[in-house]
Amino acid sequence: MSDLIPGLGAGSEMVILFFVLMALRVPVAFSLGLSAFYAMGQIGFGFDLAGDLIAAGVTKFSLLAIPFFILAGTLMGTLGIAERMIRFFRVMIGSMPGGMGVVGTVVCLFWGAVSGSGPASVAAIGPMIVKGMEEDGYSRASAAGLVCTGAALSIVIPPSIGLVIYGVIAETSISQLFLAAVVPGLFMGLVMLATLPFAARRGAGREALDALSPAPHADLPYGRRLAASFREAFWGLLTPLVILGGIYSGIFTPTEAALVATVYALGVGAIVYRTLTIRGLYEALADAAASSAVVMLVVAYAGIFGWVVTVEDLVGTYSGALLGLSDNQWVILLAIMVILLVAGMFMDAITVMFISLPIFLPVMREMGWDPVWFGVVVMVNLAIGLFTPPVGINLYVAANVTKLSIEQIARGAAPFLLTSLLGLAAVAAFPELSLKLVELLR
Amino acid sequence: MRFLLREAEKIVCAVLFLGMTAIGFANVVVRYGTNYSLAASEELLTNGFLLLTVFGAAIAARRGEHLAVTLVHDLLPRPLRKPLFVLAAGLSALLLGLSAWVSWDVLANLHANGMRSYALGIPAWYYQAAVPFGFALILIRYLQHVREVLGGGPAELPPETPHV
Amino acid sequence: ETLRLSHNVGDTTTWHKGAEKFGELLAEATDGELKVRVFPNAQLAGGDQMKMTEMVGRGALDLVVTSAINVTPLVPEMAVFSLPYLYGSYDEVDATTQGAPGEMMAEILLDKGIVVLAWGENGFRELTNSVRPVKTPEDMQGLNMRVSGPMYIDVMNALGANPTQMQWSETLTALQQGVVDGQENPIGAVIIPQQVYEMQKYLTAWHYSYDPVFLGVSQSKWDSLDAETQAKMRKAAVEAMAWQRQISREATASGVDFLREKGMEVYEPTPEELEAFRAATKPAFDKWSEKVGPEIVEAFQSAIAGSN
Ligand code: NA
Ligand code: NA
Repeated sequence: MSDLIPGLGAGSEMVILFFVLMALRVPVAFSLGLSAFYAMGQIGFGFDLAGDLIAAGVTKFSLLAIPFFILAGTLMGTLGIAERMIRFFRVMIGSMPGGMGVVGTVVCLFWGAVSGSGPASVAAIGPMIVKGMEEDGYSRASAAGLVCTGAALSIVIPPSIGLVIYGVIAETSISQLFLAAVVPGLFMGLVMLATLPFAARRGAGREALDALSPAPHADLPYGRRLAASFREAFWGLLTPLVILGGIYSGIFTPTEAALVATVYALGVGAIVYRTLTIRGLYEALADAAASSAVVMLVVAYAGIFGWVVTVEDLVGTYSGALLGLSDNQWVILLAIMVILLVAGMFMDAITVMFISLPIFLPVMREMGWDPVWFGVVVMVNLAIGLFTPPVGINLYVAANVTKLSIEQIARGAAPFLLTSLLGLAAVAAFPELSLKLVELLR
Repeated sequence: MRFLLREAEKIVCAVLFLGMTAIGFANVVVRYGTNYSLAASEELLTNGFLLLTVFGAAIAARRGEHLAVTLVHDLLPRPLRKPLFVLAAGLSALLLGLSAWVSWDVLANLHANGMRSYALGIPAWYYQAAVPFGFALILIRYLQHVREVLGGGPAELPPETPHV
Repeated sequence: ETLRLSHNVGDTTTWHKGAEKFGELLAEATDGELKVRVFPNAQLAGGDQMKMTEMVGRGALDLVVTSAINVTPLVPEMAVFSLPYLYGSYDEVDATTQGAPGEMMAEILLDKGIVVLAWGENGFRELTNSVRPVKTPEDMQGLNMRVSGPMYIDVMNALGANPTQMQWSETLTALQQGVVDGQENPIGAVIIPQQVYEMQKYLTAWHYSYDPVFLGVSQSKWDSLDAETQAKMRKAAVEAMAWQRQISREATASGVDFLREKGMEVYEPTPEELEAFRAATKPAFDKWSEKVGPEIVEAFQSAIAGSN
C-alpha cells in the first residue's frame, strides 16, 4: 500500500484517517476499525492478529458491568420504577420555589445512582420530567436542557459506564472510582439547582402541576400523600442502596453489583409491581443488548486502534509534547481539560477515553496525580461533552423524545453548560471533593 | 419462520442475556450464601459477552443506531448528502466484511491448534464459532438499513438516536 | 531486523529485564543485525495472556516470554511443572528445566510451532491471606481463595478452602473489600510489584507450586535463520535466562525481608508441616498427573530423585 501522506508514520496517518472517516459519517466504531486496518496494512504487521484483538477487547470481566447496568436501567424504566420515583419526588418537593425544575434535578441525581449511562437516562426519565416542567411553566427547551445536563451526571454518579471503562484502561480500582465520584456528582447537581433561576420560563401558573400523569391521592393532605407515594416508590428508591451498599460492604464487586441490580429490577417488576410481561422483558433484553453493543463495538475496534498506537509508539511522542507545554502542572491540567472538552464536542465519551487516555495517563503518572481523582476529573469533562453541540449524544436523544431541534435544546442547555464549566473547575481545583470520601472509608 | 429470520439476533440476545444474568447471579448467591463458587462462570460470562456484543450490534445496525457524526453531512448541500451516505455505507460494509473474515481466521486457528478453554477445558473454538457469522449478520442488517434509508424511505435521513 | 517479543507482565519485572537482556546480547552477537523490541503486559496480544503463545506458534508474533501456566490451554502437558509439591528446592527445579525433562517439554512445544530457546523462572507460588496465619491444612478450612486455573481449584478444594476463579484485574479490589480472603502467587513476580502486602496480613512460604518461564521463538522465524544465527540466538537466550533466574531468586530472597518490613506476618513452615500440606494435596496431584500423562510425571520425578 502506498503512503497516504508521505513522511508521516503509519500511526499518525491512522489518527488523521480516523477523523476523516468520522467526518464522512462513517459510524465512530467503524472509523476506528477501518483506520486501524489501514495502518496494519501500512506496517505489514497485525492483520493476522486482528480477529483475536477484536475479541480480546471485549472479553474482559470488568466490562461486564456495562451490559448489566444498561439492562438494569432499561428494566427500571420499562417496569414503571422510574415513574413512581418521579411521582414521589414531585409530591415531596414539587411545591418548592422552582417547582418541577428542582424535582427534575433531584430525579436526575437519584436516577444517576441507578443508571450508568447518560443517554439511557435521558430516554428513561426525560419525557416525564420535560412534561412536568412544561406544565410548571418552564419552556420546553429549558426543560430538555435541564434533562440533558442532569442525565449527563449519570456517568459521574456511580454506577457509571464511563468510570468502568476508565478503571479498565487506567488499571484503577472501579470501586474507588465510584466512591470518589459521589461528592463531585452531587456537587454538580447543586450547581444545576443554582442555575434554575436563570432557566427560561413562560411564567405559567402552577395549577397544572398535578396534570402530569394522573396524580394519585391529590385530595389527601401533604403528609399522607407523601407517605403514600413513598410506599409506592419504596422499592425503586432502595436501588442505589442495594447497588452501592453491596459494593462498599464487601458483598460484591462492581460487576456483580450490576448483576444484582438487574435481578433486583426483575424481582421488583415481577413480584411487587406486577408490571413484568414476557413481551416487555423480551424487548428490554433486546434494547439493552443493542445499547450495550453500540458501546462495546467502539471498545472492540478501539482494541485494534490502540494496538497500532502501541506498536507505532505514538504514546511517547504525544505525551512528550503535552509535558513539554509547561513546567506548571495546572497549565498541563488545563490543556488536558480543554482537549477533553473539545474532543467531547465531536466524539462520544467512550471513544474519547480510548484515544486520549493512553496519552494522558503517562502524563498523569509523571505529574504524580492521583489516578482516582484524575478519573473523576476526566469523567466530569466527558459528562459535559454529552450535552455540548454539535455532537452531544444526550442532545440527540432529547431531540428525539421532545421533537425539538438540536439547536433549540442546546440553547436551553446553555445556562447549565456555563455553570457546569464552573463546577468542573471546582472539581479539578479541589481534589478533596473527590478524595475525602475515599480516604474516610479506606 | 419469517419471524425467526426477522428477529434472529433479538432472540439470540434475549436468550444469551437471560442466561448470563442467571449464571452471574447464581455465582454471587452461591459464593455469598455458601462457601462454594462456580469457578467457570467467568469464562462463560466473558465469552457470552462477546456474542452478546456482536449480535446486539446487529440489532443496532438494523435500527441505524451506531453512533456517527452527522455534522459535515448536515452542512452539505442536499444533492451531495446521498453520495456521502453511500460512500460511508460502502466503507462501513468493507469493515464489517473484513471483521467477519478475520474472525473466521481466529476460528480456523483455534480449531487447528486444539486450544482449550481455561476454566472448563472445552475446545476454545466453541466460543468463537458464532462470531464470524455474527459479523456477517451485522453486515446484512446494516445493508438492510441502508437500503431502507435510500429507497422509499423518508427524504430526510432519520436522526441517529444512539442509546449510550 | 527488529523482532517483536511479547510477555504478559509489567515492565519492572524480572521477565522484562530478562527479555531486554536477551535483546542486548542478541544485538551484540549479530552486530546489530537482529534487534529485539519488548512489549510488556501482553500488549501485542490485546492483553490476552493465553492467546499470546498461540500467536507465536502460528508465526504471527516472533518471540515470547511466558510462564508454563499460561500455556496449559494450548499444551496441557505444561501443567506438570506446577503439580502441587512436585519440587522441594531450586536444585530439584534446575535438574528438570536444565535437563532431559526440559528438552522433553520443548519437543512438545515444537509440535505447536514454538522453539524453546531457554528456561527462566517465575517462582514458587506462596500463599497470602487477611484472616489468619496458615500453618497446617486445617487453617485453610473455609478461606475464600482467588485462584487462576482449574488445577488450583482442585488443590484448594483438597485443602478445604473455597476457590474462586477471578481475573487479576479484579483481584486487588476483591482482596481490599474482603470479597476474597487470599490469593497465591510468586513473591518476586507478583506479591511485591503488585503491592499485595497493602491488603494482606499473612504470608505462608509453603512453596506448593512452581512456575517456570521460557523464552520461545516462532518456528517459522527460527527456520528462516541460518544455522550460525540460530546458534547466536540460542546462546543469547540461555545467557539471558540464566541471569533472569538469578535475579529472580535474589529478589525472592530479599523480598521476604521486605514484606516483613511492610508489616506482613511471614510464616515459613517446617519440613513436617510441608509434609502435611503435601499429603493433603495428594488427591489433586494424582488427578492432574493423570491428565498430564504419567510418563511425563515419571520423567520429572526421576530427574528430581537424581538431583538429591
Ligand atoms: Na450513574
Ligand atoms: Na458533545
